[in-house]
Amino acid sequence: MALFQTPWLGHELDERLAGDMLRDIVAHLTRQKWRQQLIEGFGVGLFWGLCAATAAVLLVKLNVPRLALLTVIVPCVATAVIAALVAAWLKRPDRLQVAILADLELRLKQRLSTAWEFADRGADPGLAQRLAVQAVKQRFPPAYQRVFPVRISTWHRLVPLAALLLALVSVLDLAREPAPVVQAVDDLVIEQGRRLREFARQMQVRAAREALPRSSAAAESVQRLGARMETGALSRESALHRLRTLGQALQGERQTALRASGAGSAGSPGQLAGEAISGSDAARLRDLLQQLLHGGLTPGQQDSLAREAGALSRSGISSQALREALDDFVDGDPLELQQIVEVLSRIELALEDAEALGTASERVERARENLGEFIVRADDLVRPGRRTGSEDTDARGLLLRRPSGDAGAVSQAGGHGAGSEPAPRQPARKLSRSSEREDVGLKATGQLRAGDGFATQARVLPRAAPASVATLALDTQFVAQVEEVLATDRYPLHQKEFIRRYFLQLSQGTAAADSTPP
Amino acid sequence: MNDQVTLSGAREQLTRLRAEIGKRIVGHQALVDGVIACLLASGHVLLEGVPGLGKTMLVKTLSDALHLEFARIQFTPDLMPADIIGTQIVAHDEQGNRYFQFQPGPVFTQLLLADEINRATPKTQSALLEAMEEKKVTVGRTGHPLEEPFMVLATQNPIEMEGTYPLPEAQLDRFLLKLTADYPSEQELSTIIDRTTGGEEVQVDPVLSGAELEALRSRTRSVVVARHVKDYAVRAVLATHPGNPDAPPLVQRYVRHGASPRGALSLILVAKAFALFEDRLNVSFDDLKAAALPALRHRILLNFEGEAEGIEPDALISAIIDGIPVAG
Repeated sequence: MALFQTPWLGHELDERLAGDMLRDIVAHLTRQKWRQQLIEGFGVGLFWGLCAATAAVLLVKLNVPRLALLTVIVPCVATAVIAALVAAWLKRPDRLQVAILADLELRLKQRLSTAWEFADRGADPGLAQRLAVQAVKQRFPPAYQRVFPVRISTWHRLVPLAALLLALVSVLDLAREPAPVVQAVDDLVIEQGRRLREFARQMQVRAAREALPRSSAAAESVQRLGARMETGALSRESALHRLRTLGQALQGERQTALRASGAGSAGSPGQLAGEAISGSDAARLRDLLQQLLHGGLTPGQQDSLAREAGALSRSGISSQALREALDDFVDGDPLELQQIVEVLSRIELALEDAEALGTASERVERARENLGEFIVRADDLVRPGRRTGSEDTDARGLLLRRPSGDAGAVSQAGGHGAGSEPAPRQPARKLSRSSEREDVGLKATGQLRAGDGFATQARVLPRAAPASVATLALDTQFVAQVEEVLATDRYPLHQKEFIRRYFLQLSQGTAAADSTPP
Repeated sequence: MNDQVTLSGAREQLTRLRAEIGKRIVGHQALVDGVIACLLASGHVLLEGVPGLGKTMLVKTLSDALHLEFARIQFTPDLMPADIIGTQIVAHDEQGNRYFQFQPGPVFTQLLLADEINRATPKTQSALLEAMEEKKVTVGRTGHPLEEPFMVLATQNPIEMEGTYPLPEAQLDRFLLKLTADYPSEQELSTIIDRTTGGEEVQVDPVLSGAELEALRSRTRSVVVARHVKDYAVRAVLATHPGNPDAPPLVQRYVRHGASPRGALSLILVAKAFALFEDRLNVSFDDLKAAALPALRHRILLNFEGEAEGIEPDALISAIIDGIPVAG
C-alpha cells in the first residue's frame, strides 16, 4: 500500500463552493446515467418488440393470411419501445447509486459517494463540507463527463438478429401445398383450357376474315375462359360452371343470329334446314342477282335464277316481290333489286355467324364432357319419360347429368333410365379417349358451310346384352378347398386344369364330360 | 485544534516513524504498515513467522522509535501468570510491620513484546486476556490499570509443534491483526547483511510520543465510513459463517466457526487506519480488502475436514472478498 503519496487537503477551496460543485457533479452524472438507461431501454424495447412482431406475423400468416403485415409489426414494435422507454423514464437513477458507480468508474476510492451520502444526510455539516472538499479536490479525469457513455449493450447487438428474423418470417410463405389429387384435376382443366383457347384463336381468325361480328365477340369470351382455365386457377367445378354459362350464352347468341337471318325461332339445325333458306342458297341467289345488276345473265344463269327463286321465299322475300324488283330493274330502276341483294347478304352473314357460334357451343360442350360432365342430348333418349332425379335439361333441351363422386366417372344408368338393364361401367379415361375421337369428326362438321346442315352429336351407351355362357352356381367354400389342394399338393402342371374342372363339375352334381385327362 | 492541521502534522509524524523503522527493518512493508495500523487502531498484533525473519527486531525497533515504555517477555512452558502480571510480595514498613505489596509484572508497560507466546501454557497465555481487552490487571480484589497507550505485540513460530500450545480462540480474538512475516527478497537480504554485519550500529531515534500517538488514534477513529462501504464489511464478516446462505461453498464446507463481531470492528478500524495512510477522510473498498486478511484470518476456525485438507484461511477470505459485489 502506498503511503502519503498525495498531499492532504488544503484550505484554498471554499467549503461552500465545494458543496455546490459536488451537487453539480452528482446531478450531471445522474443525468448521464438516466440517458444511458433510456438508450438501453430503447434497445431492450426494440428487441422485444421485434420478437413480439415476429411471433405476431407468424400467427397472422397462419390464421389471417390476407392481413397486411405492417399493421401487425408497427403496433408491436411501437408498443414495446414506448413501454421500455416509459419504464426507463420512471426508473430515475438514485443519486447515491450514481455516485457509487462513478467512484468505481473513476477510481475515486468512494470519496464521491461518501461525500454525497454525508451531505445528503445532513448530520454533520462541517464533516460533510470537508468530505465535499476532499471529493471535489480529487482531480477528475478530463473524461469524467462521460462516466456513463452511450454504449451498445447486448440488447442493441441482438436487434439486427431480431430484425433479420422478422424479415425472414415476413417473406416466408406458409401456404399449404395443394393436394396431388387437386393437381391432377387441374391438369385436365388446363388441357381443356388450352384447347379452348386454340379453338378461339381459329374462330377469331375466321370471324375477322369473314367479318362476323357475333362470332368475333364470342371468340373473345371463349378465349378468355380458355386462358383462365389454362392458368390452372380454376377448379374443375368452377370450370364446369363457367363452361356451362358460356355455352348458354353462345346458344343465345346463335338464336339471335338465326332470328336475324330470318330463320325465325328455329331451335335446331334440323329445323333450320327444313324451313329457312340455307346459306348456300342465299349465296347463289345473291351472286345471280349481283351479276344481273352488273351486266347480265347467261341463259343458263337465267334458268338457275328461275329455279332458285323458290328458295327466296324461305328468306322472307316473296316471289312476287322478286318479280316486281326484276320488272323495275328492266324498267331501269335497280333499287329494289339491290335491296334484295343486301337482304340476302345479311342472311348469309347471319347464318355464317350462327354456324360459327354453334361450332363454338359444341366445343364448349365437348370440354364439359372431357371434364367429366355427362351430357345426354334429347335425341339420345330411348325413353325420355324415365329420368333420374339428378338429371337436368340445358337451354337446348339436352338432358344433363351432373357428375357425382369421381368427376370422371360416367353414370351407368345413362340414357336408358333407372330400372333398365345395367349398362357396363366405363371409366372416365375411356370417356376422354372417346371424346378425342369425336374431335376428329367434329372438325369435319365444323367445316360445313353455313346453311348446309347441322349435325347433332349423340353418344349412345351400349345396351346390356344377356349372358352368352351358362351361369354356374359355385360353392365358394368348395372352390377354395379345391384351390388350396391344387396349390399345396403336387400334381403335374399340365393336369391341374383338368383336375380343377373335374371337381368343379362334381360340385355341380354333374358327371365329368371328359373323364380322360390330357 | 483544527483537524486538518492535526492531520497534516500526523502525516509528518507517521512519515518520520516509517523512516525510523526503515533504518533497521529492511523490506516487510506490509508487515510494518500492519503494525503501524494496529498501533493507530489501538489494537494488539500477533506476528507469525519462522525464526530469523525479524519479528522481534521489528517490535524492538518500533519501541525505539516511540517515546513509550517497552518490555519483553520470553514465553516458556514454565512461565507462570504471576511472571507476567506481577504478584503480591511481603514488604516491611518503617515500623517493621509486614504487609502485602503488589509487585507489577512486565505487563505494566506501553509496548509489550510477548515473544514466542505459543510456548507458554494456556493458563499463562490467558493471563494476558484482561490486560489486552480491558487495559488493566486484577490481582486479588484490586485492579491495576495499565498506562495508555498499551499495545501487545506477540510473536509465534508456526512450524515448531513440540512443546508449544496453540493460542486458544478467545486469546486469538483479542489480537486485532495477525500478520505473517515472509522471507525477504534477494535484494532485501543483501541489504540486511550489509547493515547487520558491519561495525556500525544503526541508531533509531524516538519520533512519536505517547500523546501524539493518542491524537493519531483519535483521528483514525474519526475517519468516516459510508453506509454502502460498511455494508460491504458486514457482508464480508457474515460470509465467514458456514450457516450463512451467502457464504461461498468453500466456507460452508471447511469452516466450523466464522469471525466474531470483534472481527468486524477490527476490519473497520484497520481500514480506517489504512485510509489515514492515504490522507483520506473516508474508508474505501480497497481499504477493507487490504484489511480483510490480517483482520480475519485468525478468527476463522476450520473444521476437521478443513484441517485435514490443509485449507488456508487466507484462501477462504480471498474467496469471500472476491464474491461480494462492491456496488448494488
